[in-house]
Amino acid sequence: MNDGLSRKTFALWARRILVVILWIAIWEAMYLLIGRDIYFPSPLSVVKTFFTLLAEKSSWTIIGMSAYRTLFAVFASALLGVLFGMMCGRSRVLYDFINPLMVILKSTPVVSVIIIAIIWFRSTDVPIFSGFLMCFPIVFTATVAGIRSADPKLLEMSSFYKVRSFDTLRFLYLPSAKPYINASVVSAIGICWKAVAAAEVLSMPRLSIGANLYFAKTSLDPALLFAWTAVIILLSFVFETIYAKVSGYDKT
Amino acid sequence: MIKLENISKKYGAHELFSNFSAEFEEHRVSCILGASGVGKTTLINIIAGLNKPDGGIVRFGSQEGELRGSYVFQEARLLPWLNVHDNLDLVLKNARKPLASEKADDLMRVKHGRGDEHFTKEERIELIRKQLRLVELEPYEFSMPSELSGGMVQRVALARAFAFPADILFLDEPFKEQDPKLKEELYESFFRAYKNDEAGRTVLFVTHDISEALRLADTIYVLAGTPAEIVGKFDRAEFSDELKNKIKELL
Repeated sequence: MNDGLSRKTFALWARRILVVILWIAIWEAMYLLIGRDIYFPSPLSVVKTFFTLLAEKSSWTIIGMSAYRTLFAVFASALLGVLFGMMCGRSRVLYDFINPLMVILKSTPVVSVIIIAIIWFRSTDVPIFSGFLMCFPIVFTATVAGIRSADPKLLEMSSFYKVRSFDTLRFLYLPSAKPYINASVVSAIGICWKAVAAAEVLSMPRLSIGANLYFAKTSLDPALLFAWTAVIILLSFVFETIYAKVSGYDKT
Repeated sequence: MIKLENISKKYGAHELFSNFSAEFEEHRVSCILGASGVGKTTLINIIAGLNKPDGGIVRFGSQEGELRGSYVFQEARLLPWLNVHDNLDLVLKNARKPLASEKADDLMRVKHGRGDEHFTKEERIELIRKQLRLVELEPYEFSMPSELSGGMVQRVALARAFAFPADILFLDEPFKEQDPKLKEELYESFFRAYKNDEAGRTVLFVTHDISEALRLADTIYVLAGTPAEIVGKFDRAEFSDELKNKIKELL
């Protein structure tokens, strides 16, 4: 039984590694086909640049600052999204008041938000604001749906036994909404990284991944661009995984 | 006495009750027996205040108004993310303690003289343990509902209803889904909890099962017809096999 299981895990990992190798091969083939480093970097040069980046101390400060902006934005949108979502999930009037704003926000291009934020804020705060505005409606909508998914039979029971409203919120509404909230925060983390990077490119805080993406473009260094992008992808993945682990949310 | 006066209730064109009046005595198990769809659940929900009648009044004692009840639903309705203890504790935390001198002779305690005091944590723990012992679930105090069988979670719901300091206990076919052997165990749990109940509670029990009614009730009220009427009232002294056949005819 145990043996069969480990063989299965082995087969699964072998397949995964094979897929990765296959894609790197396709990448290399495309690189050879295009044949110009300035348009399309080779996998090897990207990997090299990536590790050169990580070896530099200043890169870590840059990563730290971007991570701080992203985390701040995610945290603020999660906190306020859950808070407003809980209120609007229970009050139809409040929901009808707030929801149009959310609908508009969800369809607003991220660059519009960034440009107005540049007018309003210091360059280092622009990404935080933009990330927040992109993620807040996601958490909000999910929380409202989660609150509304609370079992009416359990609600009837708790109102019949005159359970305190705070306890009803804490023990009935919140646990019902938890899977919705967790799923939305996980997707908000990914979206926030992208929004923050975009905002950094435009607002150019001195220490930011976005400014370095821009720098890679102006110095015509696609390997550097790819390497910084890889940093964002990795960080986004790491943060999502950590959140999923801590919250007990099953990403699959 | 629980008095229903001229109750009417319609669902669309379907008239469940029209000028329906009835009286239920206190401190005993009253069973409302009727076929499915006759309006049994609606009737006790009107008494429990979960359902508003289109017309008519429900009086408790000589007064009209709200009372404190506990309810065992058809499903256990436990919070799946809380263990057995915390499920019971949830409803007890906000409950008002009965006054020491309070004897169960006035149903209208909510409006006058119900103590303002809450149970202390120790009292709640003791109360929960006592009720779980009566339904023989003491070893499962800290189990999650998902770890228990269907009969066990229904016993937890029974313990919750008895632990809650209610004047009236409502039971809406809580044993419906169980097999006969389990039902017998649940009846035993019910009797043990009921006999140990210091308040001598008023129980309103809804069922479509004649044997269940004969087993549990002090008084059986047979509900039939559209709009529904009480077509027969029988006390425990009259219970017999003949009565069973007679009730069958009434239904």
